[in-house]
Amino acid sequence: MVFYAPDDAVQGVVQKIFYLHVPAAIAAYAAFALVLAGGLVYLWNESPAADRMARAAAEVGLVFTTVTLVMGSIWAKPIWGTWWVWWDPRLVATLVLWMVYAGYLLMRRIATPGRQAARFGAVVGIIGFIDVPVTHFSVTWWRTIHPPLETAAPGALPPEMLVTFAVSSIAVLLFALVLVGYRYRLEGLRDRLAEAIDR
Amino acid sequence: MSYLLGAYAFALLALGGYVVYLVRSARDLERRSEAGE
Repeated sequence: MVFYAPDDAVQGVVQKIFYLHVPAAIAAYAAFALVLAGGLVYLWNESPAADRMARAAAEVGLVFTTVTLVMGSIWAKPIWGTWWVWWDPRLVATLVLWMVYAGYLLMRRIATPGRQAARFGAVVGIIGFIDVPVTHFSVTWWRTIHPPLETAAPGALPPEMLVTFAVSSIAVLLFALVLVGYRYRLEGLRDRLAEAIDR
Repeated sequence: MSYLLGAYAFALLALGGYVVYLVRSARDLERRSEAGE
């Protein structure tokens, strides 16, 4: 990322934040899609595995949303001259996304584990996902200073930048999926331990 | 350059810190499960 991709003609070297900022956002979207899927499956057949996957993916999604927000803020300082713009729809929608899943995890931590908490969590995970397309398309729906979606489109980038972006996106997405898998295994261990204590 | 390094350092710390947290949680759960706590 640092050596292979050329420096941006306008933004200079700081543009290279893009190669982790955007893939982190893609990984967060994917994780929140798993929370949505887990919630739908849980409401359909009350599968504890689906609930475990939703819990695991929500945490991983929150970590990647944090990385997205902080890296974007560090990029904004030299480019926009400020760390944060409160009226910008993309920034605020992403912050709301962070709050929705932080709230989801807080609720899961506080609530007594069981059917009711899992059902409520599934509903929050399904409704909360509405903010994912809102965040993604906020740059086309409303006036914003955030770079548009076309910035990352294949035709908009020279080949070296496109290859760097593609490799980085695939690597970050795979890493996020590995983390969800590992967290899922931990949730399974925790559930078995809780069952053993209850017996 | 300092902004780029700062951003990458944060990403490394956040993701690396999360991996350490997961590994420590797994060890703790395995220990508790063996001890029957």
